[in-house]
Amino acid sequence: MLLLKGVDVFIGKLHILKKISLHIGEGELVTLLGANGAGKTTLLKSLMGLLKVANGEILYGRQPIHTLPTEERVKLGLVLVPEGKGIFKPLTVEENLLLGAYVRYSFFRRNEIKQSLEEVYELFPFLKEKRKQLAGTLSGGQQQILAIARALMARPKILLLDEPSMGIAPNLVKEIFLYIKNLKETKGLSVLLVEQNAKSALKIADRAYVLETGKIIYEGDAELVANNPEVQRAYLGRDLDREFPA
Amino acid sequence: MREEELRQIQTERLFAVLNRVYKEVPFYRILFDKHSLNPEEFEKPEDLRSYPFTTRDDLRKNYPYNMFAVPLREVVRILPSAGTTGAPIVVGYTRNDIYTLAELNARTLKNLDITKEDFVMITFHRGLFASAFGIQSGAELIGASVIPTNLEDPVKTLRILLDYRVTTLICSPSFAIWLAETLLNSELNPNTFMLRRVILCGEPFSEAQREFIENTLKVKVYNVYAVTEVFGPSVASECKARQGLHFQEDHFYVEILNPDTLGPVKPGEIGEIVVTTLTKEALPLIRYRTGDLTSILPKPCPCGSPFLQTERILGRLDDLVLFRGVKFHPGQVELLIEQITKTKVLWQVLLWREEGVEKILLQIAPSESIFSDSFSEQERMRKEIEEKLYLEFGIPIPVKFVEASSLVKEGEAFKKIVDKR
Repeated sequence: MLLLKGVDVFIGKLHILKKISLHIGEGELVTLLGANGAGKTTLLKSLMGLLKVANGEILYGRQPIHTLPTEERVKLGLVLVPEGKGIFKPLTVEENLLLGAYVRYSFFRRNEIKQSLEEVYELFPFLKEKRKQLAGTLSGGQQQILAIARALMARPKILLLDEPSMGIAPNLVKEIFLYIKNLKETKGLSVLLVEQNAKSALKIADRAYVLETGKIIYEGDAELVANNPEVQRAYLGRDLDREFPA
Repeated sequence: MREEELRQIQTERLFAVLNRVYKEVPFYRILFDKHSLNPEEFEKPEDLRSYPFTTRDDLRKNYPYNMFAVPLREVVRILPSAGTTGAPIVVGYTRNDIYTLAELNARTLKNLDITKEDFVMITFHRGLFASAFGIQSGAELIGASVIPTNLEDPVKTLRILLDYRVTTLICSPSFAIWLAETLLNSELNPNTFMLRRVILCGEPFSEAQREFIENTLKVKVYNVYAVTEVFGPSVASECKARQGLHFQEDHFYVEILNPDTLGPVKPGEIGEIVVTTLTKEALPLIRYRTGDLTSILPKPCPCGSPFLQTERILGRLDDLVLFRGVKFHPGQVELLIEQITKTKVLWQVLLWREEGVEKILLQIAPSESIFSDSFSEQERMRKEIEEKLYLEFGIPIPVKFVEASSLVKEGEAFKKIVDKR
């Protein structure tokens, strides 16, 4: 569904992403793992058109999209939930959600948007309770869910999530990951999940890529990646041999 | 899986494996640097053409562990290359590798409709140990009942086939032929067997041999291609259409190259199989020259698989001799004879089939200097050579002293190997 072919991205003179080839199938939950500064967020930004692709192609379906502006990509169904949620704190919950449907808005389609809003409320009932509340008054976990809900308002086909677990209480992380898995299963969404919390991400993902200094050094089924000792040492923060010395 | 998806997966995995070996294996780092190749610039599968080859010799030079891409504590299975002696090689598997190997073999067996209802008898001898392991893990993953045996007695094997109600037999072609011959000479009725398919692995075989096994045992015969160094069995296998081998291209990047020009061959032309492993962790190989020859089939297979389809293995590039699954080089035999006789002598290996069974005989024409009048002295030397041969290759090779004039000549020179199989 989404294809990257040999993508190079520079920030200034720094070569951040090196010949990235990656694919996300229909209804697939793919996770991208990597340490700080590996280029995970850069990859998402280039997917959304916030950074320019120097070489290579990004194909959505069969259509090359790496030259399209960001809003066109959103209209096609590529939606990003940015790192640190990026919600509008002084606005109410409902206003935040409506802004998610901004690219879809027209006078004739306002009922359609209303319907989407109801759907989102159905998925996350607590948002309905707090719809008049200012977004800034929500807890961290709730804000994250609001950010995801806002992304859903744009009717995405591929959801890009940038570290949804960051700055959130560990027990809520589990819940958010369950929501993400649910979205994939019930709505058939394709998801690209960028995470540092590799252990939780690998639990819900179908496949995984490991990014290291701008290169993909490992690709495989999530289960295999979780078993790969190198990945375990580098990203899961554990070394089985040290935990259970022979 | 569509062709396009396959190309994408191959590109992604090739990039990852090239960068991994560059980082982890000094041999490849030096090699790539020597050719001024930067794996970070790798973009599409065609780029692989500029990469150097890996040969069996490289594996020998880096014996035992220098080609491994993971620390040894991650390696959970190590297989020495049995049978192919001389300078030995070693292959290793991580836990994930073993899982992948089982998956690959399960895929092969599933394609042939093997289910958990099946009774699968796997019988290989020493030389094909690696194949036996791999196929067994695949069959067990499916949940079939596996009967691993190391029997060399075809009568006993027939007994097991009958009594255990075996539906699938997996063995080497020579053993299957031997079994068929034995069945013909026995009282048993082939129609009373539950056996439905025979899967052959380990040696090349001809269509005539396939037909013979099929008609005698009343089965369908399928072919599985194994390369121990690359992964083991199921690098390629036949589907139910039995029109040639399908390479499992999501795990191996396969090139069929002209052995002289080393460029790709057109469909129909004979070329060498060159394999790059895509998912192997312990011992990844870049452009490994297998020495096996085949040709690409021009027509797509009716099964609809996107994988590369080739003719069965048509032969070997080098003069490696394959006998009952044991591979050896004529040079090894020469070295061994020289060690014992202390001089250069004329010798010749005869290979032929007797009632379907492969036979071997080493003929030596002793020179004046080692020729002894004493019969017992000569007999002692003959015994010694036989013993050494057995230790070296693991199979009994009878030795006979003959007159030089009785050796088969080709033009002026004596042939080292006379293959009448």
